[in-house]
Amino acid sequence: MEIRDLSSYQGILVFGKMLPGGPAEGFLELLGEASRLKAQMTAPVRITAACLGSSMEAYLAPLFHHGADHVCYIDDSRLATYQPHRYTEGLFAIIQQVKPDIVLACASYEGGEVASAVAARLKTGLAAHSVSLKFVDGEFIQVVPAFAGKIYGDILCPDTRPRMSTIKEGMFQKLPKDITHTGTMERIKLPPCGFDERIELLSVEDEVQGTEKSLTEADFVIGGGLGIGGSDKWRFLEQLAEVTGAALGCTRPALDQHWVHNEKSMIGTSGVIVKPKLYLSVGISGAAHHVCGVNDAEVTIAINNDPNATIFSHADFGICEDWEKIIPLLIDKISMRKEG
Amino acid sequence: MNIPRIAVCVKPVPDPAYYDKITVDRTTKRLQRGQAPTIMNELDRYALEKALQLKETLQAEITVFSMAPSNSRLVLLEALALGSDKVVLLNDIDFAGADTLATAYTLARGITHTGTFDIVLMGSESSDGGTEQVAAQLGEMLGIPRFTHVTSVSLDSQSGRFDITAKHDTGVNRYRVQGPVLCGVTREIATPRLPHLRNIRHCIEKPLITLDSKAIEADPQRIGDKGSPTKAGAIYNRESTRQGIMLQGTPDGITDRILTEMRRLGVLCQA
Repeated sequence: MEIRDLSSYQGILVFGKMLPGGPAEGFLELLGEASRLKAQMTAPVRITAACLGSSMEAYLAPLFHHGADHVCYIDDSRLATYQPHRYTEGLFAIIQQVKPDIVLACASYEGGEVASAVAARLKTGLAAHSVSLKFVDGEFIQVVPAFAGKIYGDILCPDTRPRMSTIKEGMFQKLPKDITHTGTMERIKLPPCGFDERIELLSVEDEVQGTEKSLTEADFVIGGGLGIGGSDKWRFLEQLAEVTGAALGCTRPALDQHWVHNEKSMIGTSGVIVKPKLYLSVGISGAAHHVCGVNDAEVTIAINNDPNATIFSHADFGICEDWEKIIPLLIDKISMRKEG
Repeated sequence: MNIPRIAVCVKPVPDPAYYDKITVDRTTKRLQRGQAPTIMNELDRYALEKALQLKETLQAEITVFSMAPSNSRLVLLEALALGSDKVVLLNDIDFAGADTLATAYTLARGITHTGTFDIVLMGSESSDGGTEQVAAQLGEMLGIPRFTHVTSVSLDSQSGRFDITAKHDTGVNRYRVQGPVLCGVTREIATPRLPHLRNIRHCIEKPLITLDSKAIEADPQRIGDKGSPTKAGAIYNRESTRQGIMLQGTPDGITDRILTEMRRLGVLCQA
């Protein structure tokens, strides 16, 4: 491995997504985690937010209000739409400019892809989907899941810089907004993008954002699995979600059955990680990647008619019963209560 | 355009059905795989299926690459039985302990050594590590355009251009790309087939070549543990802290119990 002067890499750089009206929630969460890491570090540390996009200068202020000391950004019409090769050039240029010790990137489609490519170019380490970041005896430790979250492992990056991590949205908490916190801005140029003459962008389709309650924000989340048994029966869960104001998610098998069409409804380490006060699983057997996606729920209740279902060992309350005897009755009781 | 040449990267992984049984031994701190058999990584199977479909319409030639221990031969034979033309197994004791960077480097060396390809296909992620890193890193090392979370690929054999649909954070983009190109694919790409009996018989006649680090002229500093900037520290089980109380009784009693819990947590009055 190439030996580098590690001490020339300083500070924490956070790379997140700029949406049309401002930074994505996950971006602010990572700034919050960067601030907590900063508090653990002895030397003075600067937190840089790295932004790529077009016409976004007016929307950068929230980055300062949530912990950034510095914003290094590229505002270029060629970055108006995400394209992997251009965003890779952009983040690479920012990292070369800032030379951070630590890089935190959102583990979204875009963030994960760009961070991977940049880490390859920098020949440095990238921990995937970190769930915890800490310093132990001066050593930076990134805790990552393996085997769909059944096992956790510490990842170290002793010999190269920057030390990079991707983190899923919802994993960490943003700081309360502090409008007195300000910082410096630095705009740099987008370098030439090598593959521009080989890649033609034909179309951009943005998904219409659903009006349903967001899984990551809801206090009450219901998850349905293969045990529901049919798309006609799925509506019971929709009805329960409606009368309780819960967010409704699903497992991979339910998605594969097309009972649910939005892939972003899948709860688990390979989908959405949820942290509600209450998680109610219905007809879910309890595959590792699913149960690890609800680890941080305050209380979990599982309904499954198979007494040997794994889900019961991951539930605070288990109900071994046909869900059809429970859910419709529950809906009735809640509806009656509201009417009465 | 000549016959398209397709490379497919395949990772043998422990069967995800056994993940519940995988634990860390409390005394040795080592991983206990719980007798999990080794199978082809699910998304790589989807990538291979896409390659087979391109082969059917365009007479393409498929070479499968895998960096794996030699006990993964069954997975590679299966790739041949499904219809691949050739398998290149990258196998060397010095490849052991590779993180994503060293893995991408080794695959890049193996592919470059073997020939030129119009497209490289692989799953966007593996079920065991699940880092979603290798596709982007391999593309970077091969120095070709690369896309991950690709949901469709087609090739216009006249122009040699690929039409690619790939997910991004707020939707999908469609691109037209002059190859060579690398695609990390998702489940939407194709529906995997089962091996055909005739192909199973023929698979042992097809070439399964093993190459070591010398054969692919790999830099010894960039492979295996030595070439991995990340180092694994302690591993541990994620312990369940749930109470595991089974609620008994009539549906009426059980639903009342659920309502009590909802009330206690303050999630009942939201609607």
